[in-house]
Amino acid sequence: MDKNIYAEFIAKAELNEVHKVLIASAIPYAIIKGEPLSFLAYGDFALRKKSDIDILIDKNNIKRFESQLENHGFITQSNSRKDRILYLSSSHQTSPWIKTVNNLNLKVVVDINFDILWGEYNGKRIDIHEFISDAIDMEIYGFKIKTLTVLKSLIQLMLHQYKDLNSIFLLATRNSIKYDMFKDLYYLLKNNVHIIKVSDLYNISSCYQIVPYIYYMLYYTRLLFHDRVLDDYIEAFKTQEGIDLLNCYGLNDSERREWKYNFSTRLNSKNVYELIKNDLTEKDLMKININRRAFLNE
Amino acid sequence: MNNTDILDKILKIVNDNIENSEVSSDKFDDELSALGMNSISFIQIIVLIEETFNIEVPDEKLLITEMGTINKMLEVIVTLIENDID
Repeated sequence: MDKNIYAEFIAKAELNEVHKVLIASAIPYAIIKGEPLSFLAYGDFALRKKSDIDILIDKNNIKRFESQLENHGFITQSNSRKDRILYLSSSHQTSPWIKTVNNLNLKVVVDINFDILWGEYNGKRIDIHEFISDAIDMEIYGFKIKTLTVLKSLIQLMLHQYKDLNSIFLLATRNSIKYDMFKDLYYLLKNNVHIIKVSDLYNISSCYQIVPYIYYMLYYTRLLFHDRVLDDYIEAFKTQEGIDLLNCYGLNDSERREWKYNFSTRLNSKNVYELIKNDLTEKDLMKININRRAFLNE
Repeated sequence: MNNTDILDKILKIVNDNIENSEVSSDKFDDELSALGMNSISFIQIIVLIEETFNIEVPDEKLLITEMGTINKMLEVIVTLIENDID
C-alpha cells in the first residue's frame, strides 16, 4: 500500500476510536500535535510522524474522560495510586491509554494531556479550561474534531519542545534534542506569519508569564533556519531572563545548571546522556530512576 | 478528629519524609519545597496522607503548588473529610 494511503488508513482507524470517546464524554478538549499540527504547519495531515493521539483537557475532567475510555475498551498499564500521583504531580499527562483493534492489528494510543507546562514548573500555571476555550473546528479524514488556534498551537508546541530540551530525565533517557522539534516550530510560524502577529504572541506569552521560554525556542529556531522572518519576534521577546536560559538546562531554578557543551554539540550528539552524566547529582539520579519506573515501565 | 489532631498527623508525615529540616508550628504557611520537600517526597507524603485519613486527594490538587504548605494540606484534608461526612 502507498505510504500516504497507509498513513491515512491508520489515522482514520485511530480517529474513529477516539472520536467515539470524545463524543461520549462531552467535555471541552483540543487534539494537539499529530494531524492538526501537521496541517497547520505543513498544510498536510500526514507530514508529521506520530505514535499516539494527544488530547488536551482540563484536569477536572480527567476522570470523566478516563471512564469513557474504559467504556470504549481502552486500558492503561499504570494503575497504582503512587504512579497516578506521580503522573499528576510531576508530568503534563497521564499514563497512556491503549486499545487494540484486533481486526486491524492496530494499537490506538491516547495520551491525556492536562497541562502545557511541566511538573517541575513552580510559577503561575496556565488555566487549561481557558486555554482550550477558543478551540477551533477541524475536519480530519472526515472526522470533525477540535484543535487549538494557530497561536495557541504555537504556544503549546514551544512549551512542549522547551520541556523536552531541558528536562534532565528526558536528556538522560533519550536523545531529546532533535532538529525536527525546531523544524515543526519554524514551519508553523513561517506558514502562519500573517496570522501570528508579534504583538499577539507577546501579549499572550506575557499573560501566561512564559516570555523567556518562548525567547529560548525562537532564538534557537532562528539559529538553525537563518530566516529573518523570526527577527522581529526574537527582538520582542528578548529579556535577560531569556538570555540566561540559553546555555542552561533543567526545568526550574533549583535544578537548572549550565551546559558544558555548545548548542551545536548538543544537537548533533548521538548520546546526550554522555554530555550531562558528570553533572548529575544523587537527587537527579534518584528522580531519573523513579521516573524510569513510572514513565518507561522499567 | 479536630484540626489540631489532623495537623499533628500531617506534621509527623511531613517531618518523617523531608530531609534535613523540621517543620515547626511557626512554619505552617512556609513552602515545603523550600524546606526540603521535592517531587519524590511529595508523592510519598500524599500517599501517606491518603492512607492516614482514608481520603483520595482529587486530581486537580495533586500539585506541589496546591498542597505545598502545611496549611494548604490541612485545608484540602478538612474539606475532603467534611465532604465525606456529608
